[in-house]
Amino acid sequence: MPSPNKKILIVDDDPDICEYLAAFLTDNGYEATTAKDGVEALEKVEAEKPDLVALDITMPEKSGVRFYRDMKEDPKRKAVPIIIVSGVSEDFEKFISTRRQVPPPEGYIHKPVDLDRLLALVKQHIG
Amino acid sequence: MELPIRESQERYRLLFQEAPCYISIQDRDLRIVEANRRFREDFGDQVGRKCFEVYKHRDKACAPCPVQQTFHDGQTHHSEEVVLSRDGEPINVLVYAAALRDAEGRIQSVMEMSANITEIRQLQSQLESIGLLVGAISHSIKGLLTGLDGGRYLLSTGLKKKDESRVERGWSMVQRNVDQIRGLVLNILFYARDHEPEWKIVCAPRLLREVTGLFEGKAQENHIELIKDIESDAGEFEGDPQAMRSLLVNLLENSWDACSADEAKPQHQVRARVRGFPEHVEFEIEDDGPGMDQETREKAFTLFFTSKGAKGTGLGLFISNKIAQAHGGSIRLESEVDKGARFLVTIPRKRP
Repeated sequence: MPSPNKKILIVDDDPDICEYLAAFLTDNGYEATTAKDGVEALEKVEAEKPDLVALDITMPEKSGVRFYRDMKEDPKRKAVPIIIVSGVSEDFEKFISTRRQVPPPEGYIHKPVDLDRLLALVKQHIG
Repeated sequence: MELPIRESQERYRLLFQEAPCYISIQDRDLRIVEANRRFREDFGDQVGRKCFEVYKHRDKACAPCPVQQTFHDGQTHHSEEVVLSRDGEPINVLVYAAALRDAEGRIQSVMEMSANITEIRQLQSQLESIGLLVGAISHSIKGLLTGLDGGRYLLSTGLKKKDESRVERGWSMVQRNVDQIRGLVLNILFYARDHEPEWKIVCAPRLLREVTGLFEGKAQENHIELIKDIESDAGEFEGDPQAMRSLLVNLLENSWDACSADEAKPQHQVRARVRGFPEHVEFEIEDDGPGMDQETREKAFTLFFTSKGAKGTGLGLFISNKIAQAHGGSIRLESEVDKGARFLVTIPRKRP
């Protein structure tokens, strides 16, 4: 079991996927909180100080991409690992490769989610 | 001697008349001097009129014009065009222009041969649209599968933990995602060619209210005033509500995009109107955006024709037109440059 109080923020516009990943991570000893878009995610980062973020990048109006940039361009927040969970990765990879000053994410996971791989990635970054 | 010459003249004449493509001979003013049988069948007897009037229903030569190019340099030139038959049917043609010279080698006229490639283009469009659909569909299926996985996870862990609330949430998650997959499959069938409309009694004013409701939220941010002119006793018609909704959404989106992209005015108006007549209902979507020139207007309903650049897929108006036809109705488009556009959708009250 990981050390107590490690908190993970799950950002996805599909409430089913939020609930699914939150249940899975809670079952594995983490604390989980969710947000339905980039704006809510920023508020949760401020209020709950998560140790890691699982982010769907293909949310409407690019709010996932904007959230990612806000996190990684902020010196105080860029240390928080972000794992991208997405149905399409090309959009995001294009975004990252056109902006050299934005560092790449700590991990990619494709939908449908391989739970073992997700857990391994989470453990690797926050124990 | 005389007989063989006449015979060979007759043979060439036959070849010209019966060739399986449209052939016309044109002079320097692009006036049609002679036309073969296939040409006359689909475009009428048009000798003496100008090529662009007959083929394109326009009042200026196309730019570039392969016939003019051939007059200029004597070489053969080709291009692909969409022309309109005398019944108003768009026909895709591959046009070849070749010089006809007199004994001194001067170009007297130009022969324009157009092969009808409409069927090839239609097949190609179908293949392309399948490609586009597959991309969009696979993205949503990945999301729905993840939702199903979620339901399965909550169900199995809920059973293990004897946590009834978790089992319930898992089960409803499975149901929700199965419903969504069903909806997705219906949509795919609806785009597929041979889908029969699902006939219901549709209330015309309610339908238009529903659809305009989708646009009200973004009216202000796009500086568009949405005017609803809804005759509340316009009445009912037999139709496929889902299909009719897509039709109206497509037309409204079209006007919306045209207005948002138009920087000539700070503020625009889009008017959505419905009126009832004894035998039919009439929907009208009108905007005061940049309007369309003749060519855009004539190609507007062609699959994959778009004037929106990378933002357009060229699917919306094509599908809308198909939907109107499946209802025994039609869409009429009136538009001029700088004068906005008006789509008039006529749907009979009784299904065909």
